[in-house]
Amino acid sequence: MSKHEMLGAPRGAEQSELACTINGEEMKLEVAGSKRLLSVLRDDLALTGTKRSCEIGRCGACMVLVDGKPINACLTMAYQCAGKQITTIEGIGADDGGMDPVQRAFLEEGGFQCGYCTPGMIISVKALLERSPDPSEDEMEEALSGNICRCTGYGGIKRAVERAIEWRRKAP
Amino acid sequence: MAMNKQTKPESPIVWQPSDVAEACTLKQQLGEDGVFVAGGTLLRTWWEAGIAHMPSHLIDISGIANMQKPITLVSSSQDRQICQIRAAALLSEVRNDSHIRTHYSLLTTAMKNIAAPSIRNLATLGGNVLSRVGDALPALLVYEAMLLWHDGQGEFEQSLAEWLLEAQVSHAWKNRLLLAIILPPVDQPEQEGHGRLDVYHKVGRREVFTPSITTVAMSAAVGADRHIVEVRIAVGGGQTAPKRLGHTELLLEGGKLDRSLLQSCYSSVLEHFRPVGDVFASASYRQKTAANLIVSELWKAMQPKS
Ligand SMILES: Cc1cc2nc3c(=O)[nH]c(=O)nc-3n(C[C@H](O)[C@H](O)[C@H](O)COP(=O)(O)OP(=O)(O)OC[C@H]3O[C@@H](n4cnc5c(N)ncnc54)[C@H](O)[C@@H]3O)c2cc1C
Ligand code: FES
Ligand code: FES
Repeated sequence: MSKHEMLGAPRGAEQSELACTINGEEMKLEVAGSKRLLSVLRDDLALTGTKRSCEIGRCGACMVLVDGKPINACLTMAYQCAGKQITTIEGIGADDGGMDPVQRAFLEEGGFQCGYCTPGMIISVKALLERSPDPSEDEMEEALSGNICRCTGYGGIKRAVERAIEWRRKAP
Repeated sequence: MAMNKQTKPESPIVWQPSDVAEACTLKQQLGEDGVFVAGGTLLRTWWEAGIAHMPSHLIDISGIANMQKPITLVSSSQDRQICQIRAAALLSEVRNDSHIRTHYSLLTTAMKNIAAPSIRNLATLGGNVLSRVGDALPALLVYEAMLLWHDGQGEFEQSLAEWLLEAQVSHAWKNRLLLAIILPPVDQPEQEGHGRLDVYHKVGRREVFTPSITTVAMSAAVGADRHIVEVRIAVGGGQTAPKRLGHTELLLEGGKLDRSLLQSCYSSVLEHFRPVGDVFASASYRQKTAANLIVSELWKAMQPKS
């Protein structure tokens, strides 16, 4: 029987080693297995692009990719990330340091105002387009249904998604 | 297995049993201090809302060996396929499964209507069932789903409908491990000239990503002569434990869909569906919503096919 927090550590302790990959970098972190991923990212690793808002899965501001799938970091506990590939908004950009087409589309189409929901939106759109490069309107709506924006009225966001699809289609 | 139960940790200790026996032993030893966790999405909601306190120990069921394959098909005696969905199957896995989409379409629709994709990537069908109010339940009731449990001594099956009644009066099930949700083979439209009426509706306060006010799942076969048979209707929503509307089903079964039958059906739903109201929607609003949804679908089914 393994107590996840303790893989290798003495029983009864609360800390354990979390081995995972964050934005392409292999990491071994000493954290409680039940600590939220959101807190690991923001408080322990200073990856503050992932936003903290409702903390109960309702807003999507804390969205990250876990093995390529969108997941709310505020609902995910550290032990659920063992051996996984985690990508935050800081890890979305192109390898040459430039922006991902989805990021550029949000910028150029005015897909944000205050910007608080934007990292989460971009993560959800990125996941959608990786899975379904030419999504239907229904798929788009479903993919973004867990991301709430209080500013834009979603018009700019929708335009940004459409633009990102177009760019990706034209990309060599 | 030595555990120091005196010191309450600031955050729960997470145990990851690799098989069912270990999981059940842990639960027996930890008692109320140890809680099974699947996706943890509902537990987190309860902890944050103060509905449940964070336990000292979490028993993670996702690593249990026979929980790994989410959906398996088993041949029954008449060479028809029984579908076993592991309790730890993610809602997204159930949503995207082609066998479920083809044979249990109400469940696929239910999945699409639960939370949002990111939550469905964490949350499980077992957790949804054991919430006792999950949106999967009306669809599962219509398919007459069975639950496969392990109580530490051995495995046993129980009908979902029976468990929902048991859970109203006893907490004994909280010491058991749910292994799988079993869907019996569906009898498809076998009667000549009959079309299927399969509907699942969840009405909330927003169009998507919203808690349910009223959820209705209904399945029946309707003939060209408007006779309706094989009627199954389940209702739920909000904090109401879902249930089958047996009286309404009987009233409809074998009848001919017409204005008078629809009126009786409407009254029957109002009489037999007893939802729980809250500050957002009263019990009577929920009753009427259910009755309207059911009757409007029956009305559509009795229109001549163009
Ligand atoms: C933002 C948000 C939106 C939501 N929207 C909806 C919605 O629209 N519709 C809906 O129905 N639900 C909704 N939920 C509730 C919840 O996410 C789902 O019901 C989900 O399916 C629960 O699954 P889980 O694996 O996360 O359960 P957990 O939180 O892991 O567990 C839930 C309960 O079941 C027990 N348990 C879990 N698995 C087992 C097992 N195999 N054996 C024994 N006990 C077990 C746990 O001890 C706990 O008591 C929402 C939740 C959130 C956070
Ligand atoms: S902070 Fe995680 S969904 Fe709102
Ligand atoms: S841009 Fe402000 S919340 Fe979306």
